[in-house]
Amino acid sequence: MMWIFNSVFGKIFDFIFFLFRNMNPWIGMILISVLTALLMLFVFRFTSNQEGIKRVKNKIKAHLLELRLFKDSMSLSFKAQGNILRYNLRYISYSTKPMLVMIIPLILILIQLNFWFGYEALTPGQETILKVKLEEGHNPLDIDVALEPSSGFDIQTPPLRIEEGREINWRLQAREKGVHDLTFIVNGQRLTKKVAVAQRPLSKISPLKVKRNFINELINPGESPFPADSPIKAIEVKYQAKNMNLFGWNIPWLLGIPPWLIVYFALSIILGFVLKGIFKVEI
Amino acid sequence: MNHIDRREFIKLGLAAGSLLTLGSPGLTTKAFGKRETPQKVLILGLDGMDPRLLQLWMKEGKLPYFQRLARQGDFLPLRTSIPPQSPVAWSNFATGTNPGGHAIFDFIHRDPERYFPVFSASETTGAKKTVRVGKLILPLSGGEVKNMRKGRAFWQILEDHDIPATVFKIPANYPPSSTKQRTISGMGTPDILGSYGIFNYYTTEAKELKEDIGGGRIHPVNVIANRVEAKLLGPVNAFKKDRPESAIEFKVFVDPVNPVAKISFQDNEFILKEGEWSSWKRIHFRMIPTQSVNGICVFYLKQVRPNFKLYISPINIDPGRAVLPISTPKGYSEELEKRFGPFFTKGLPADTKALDNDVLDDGEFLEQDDLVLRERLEMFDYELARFSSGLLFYYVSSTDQRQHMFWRFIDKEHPSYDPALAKKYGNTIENIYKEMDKLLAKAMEKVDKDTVLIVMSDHGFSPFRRSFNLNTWLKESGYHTLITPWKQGREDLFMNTNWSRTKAYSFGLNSLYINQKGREAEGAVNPGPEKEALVREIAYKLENFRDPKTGGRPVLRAFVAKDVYQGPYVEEAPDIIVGYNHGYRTSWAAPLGRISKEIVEDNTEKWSGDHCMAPEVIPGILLTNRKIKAKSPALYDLTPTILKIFGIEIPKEMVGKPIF
Amino acid sequence: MGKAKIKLDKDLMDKVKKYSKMAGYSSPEEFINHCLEKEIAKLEESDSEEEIKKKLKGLGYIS
Repeated sequence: MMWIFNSVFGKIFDFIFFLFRNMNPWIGMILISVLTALLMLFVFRFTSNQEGIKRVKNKIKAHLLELRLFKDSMSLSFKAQGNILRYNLRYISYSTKPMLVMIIPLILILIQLNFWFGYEALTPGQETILKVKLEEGHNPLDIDVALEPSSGFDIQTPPLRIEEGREINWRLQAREKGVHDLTFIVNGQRLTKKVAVAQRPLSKISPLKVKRNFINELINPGESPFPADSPIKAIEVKYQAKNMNLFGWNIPWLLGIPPWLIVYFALSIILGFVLKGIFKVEI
Repeated sequence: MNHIDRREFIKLGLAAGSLLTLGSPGLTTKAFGKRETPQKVLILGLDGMDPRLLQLWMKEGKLPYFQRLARQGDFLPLRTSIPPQSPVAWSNFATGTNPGGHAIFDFIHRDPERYFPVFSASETTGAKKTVRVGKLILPLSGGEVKNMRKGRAFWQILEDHDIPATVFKIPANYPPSSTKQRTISGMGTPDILGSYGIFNYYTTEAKELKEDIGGGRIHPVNVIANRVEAKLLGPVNAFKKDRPESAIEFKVFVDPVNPVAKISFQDNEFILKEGEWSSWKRIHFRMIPTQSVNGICVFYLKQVRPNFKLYISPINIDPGRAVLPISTPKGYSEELEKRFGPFFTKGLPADTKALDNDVLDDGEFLEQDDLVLRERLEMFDYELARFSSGLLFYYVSSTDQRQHMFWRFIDKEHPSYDPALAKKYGNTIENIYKEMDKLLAKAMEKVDKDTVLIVMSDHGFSPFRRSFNLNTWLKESGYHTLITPWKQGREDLFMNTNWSRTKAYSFGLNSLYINQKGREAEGAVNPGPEKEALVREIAYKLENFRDPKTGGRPVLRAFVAKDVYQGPYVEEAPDIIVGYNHGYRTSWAAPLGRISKEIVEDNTEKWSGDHCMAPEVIPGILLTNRKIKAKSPALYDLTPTILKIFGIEIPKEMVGKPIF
Repeated sequence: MGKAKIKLDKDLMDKVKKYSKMAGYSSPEEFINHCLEKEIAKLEESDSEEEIKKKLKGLGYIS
């Protein structure tokens, strides 16, 4: 079920970015920020008490004026400040509902956007690590995992089995451009995982493929899940984080927040304020 | 997280070295000089290339481009410096003077007040004023890294005349002399610990655990549950009160059966098979929560089983975020890093110490030096392609390093000669000459009729079969007295010397000093006639000393500084510069003041070729695409030659004459 | 200030007494104190000397 939802939802993003995938990723970023701003305005427009917000904002403005006019009178100033606080709280309560409505779609959007803006595809010749993570109770030394060769990449090392982490690692070197399938044969079962090499400037990259499980799939919707009875918990290809380069300057990580997310939030909020007048939305 | 920039790093005096008389070379990333010059000069500096070997292989038709160039122009031996050590020789070339004019007399100088050895090329001072906050020490005033070479370099003079120059890794130019020209430092550039290079080696094999080896640290490790945990030590943390060494922890996971391992530290993880080298890895040493120092190194997984063995190269300064000044403008090293990725920045990048200590074997050493060579050739293509005006100087170190380490395979008389290994590695030196022929081919393709091409080396090579301990000779000849005679040979740094009864001592590779009253802390010889007579006496005796085993003369020439140097710094020179004979060199122990029991001993090390001899024993090479008028050109003649080509008047400090 | 007793060979103690007088120390204690301080200072000094030596030893030409 979850997978059907994920693939439909994912397709929407494929569609949105389709025309922009050969352009600078900033164009895709601006586009999605505009769409997000519009969505937020739309949600505000129809889920919040627009009249109420307008009234509250006017009240706040009025009391601010009062504060300025009667700054010599202690008692009036205090009263005005009290009123500003009161209406602020009411304003927050008015915007709670649209926020609540927004939060789940926003999380789903962020998960999708991370595939598009979070990782850099491998370049031909680049080396990375491929990790197979096993379920509890399985020992990497006992399990029979074979990797099928492909023209897209080389497997450069024999399997490195790490018992304590229940992991099997390989070093993989990208060779040809394109999205390739890594094919594993695990205890006779065939499993695949996608590997992206030198994609377009804007492309979807899914580092982790997980097992069938609601939460897992919700968080890692990039690829169809493994069957629930597989001894494999997840397969990961390590990609480097994507840089957002602004006129030669790489936007840095801030408190663990990746550059693309900083840009996305900032752009969406700015655009929301720019566009609210056009659509006559009170926020 | 903030990375410490180089100014802050120096302030803290975290590494040996210091600067910044450089003004602010870092502020502009654009290199100087766009002027088109009608004449151009392209110089290949091939460290240690020997005229006899070159001649031999040219005759055999193995070096077609050298042959062609010699036919087209000229090929002569090039007189080298006194002493013929690379920092001295290249300084002669850079300034057009001899050591009296540039004040670099040896790899190692000494502080006469402490009888203590010091780096000749650069000097670092830490922050003088600091404030202590709890356990932290914060710097208030700046430290310095200073290039000790005096005199003006030719690229500075070219700059005065608006002639652009790129000077790639010329030795004895760390930190780079103040200029807007594009320059990057080479030999003399420290690793991130401020040393000539310290590798790290992790092993489970007990018999490999040697203490106190020069140039490396050997760490015992255990493989527990297929995992190794260890530390990589970084620079001293001058932020902390007791100046602890900074360190990062790393883990290695090995497969229980397959010869493969994963190394993981910080946000880095990578897999190596046994016998594989990693690419460059970046390391951040955290000093205080907001500050870290960047370095780069490569890993080599020597063995997984039966013993686990991992080599980590000396940690080089990251050229993309240099914590010490390695280029002018600062952006030059960053530009190269952007294009080529991280690259070797440490002075002599080949790890000869790891080979000498059996941490790397011959093949592994060559693999490592191949990394250096390949990188150097790639960057040459880049610089050559954009060379369109002025001067380009390009330097190669592998020629020198491979002759040092592989001479034992072309010299059957060498104590370390091994016929089986000679079969395998006997061609190593010939091969590097052939590589240089290919490099020359590219240069010759680029050269047009207005370009003067000069191919040169700073010195040649000779076998190093027998080692001569100058300090032991001084002691045996009655010029040097010990406190406790039976302790002879056990202590470095003259810890056992009775200075009040010592007349002479030697620090460095060719330098002999008189223990002079008023100059040395416990001087015993009066300056003036007493010293003069003593100097002549010692020089005479040295030249007449005979090797008891072979009957040969270890010392061919003992030069008296006053006779051979001119310029303002003659007073700082050693009193005698010892020029060893073919096959001889100073011993391993003597340069740092250890007085071994024997005067002359066999050299059984892998370091088997050398050039710290008398200059006439090991001239360098000079090939040009013009006829040379000079009969016996010297290194310092090339500097005025360059100036003359560009029509610049030759400064009177220069001692050389143009060769064309 | 706390004081600790240290055992010395009788022969050595005799020498200490003899030389402390000769060198003009007011007491054998003062002489011993001075000697120890000097030795410790030397060791502390050689710590940083050791560090410098290590750094120099990376140079291929020496060991």
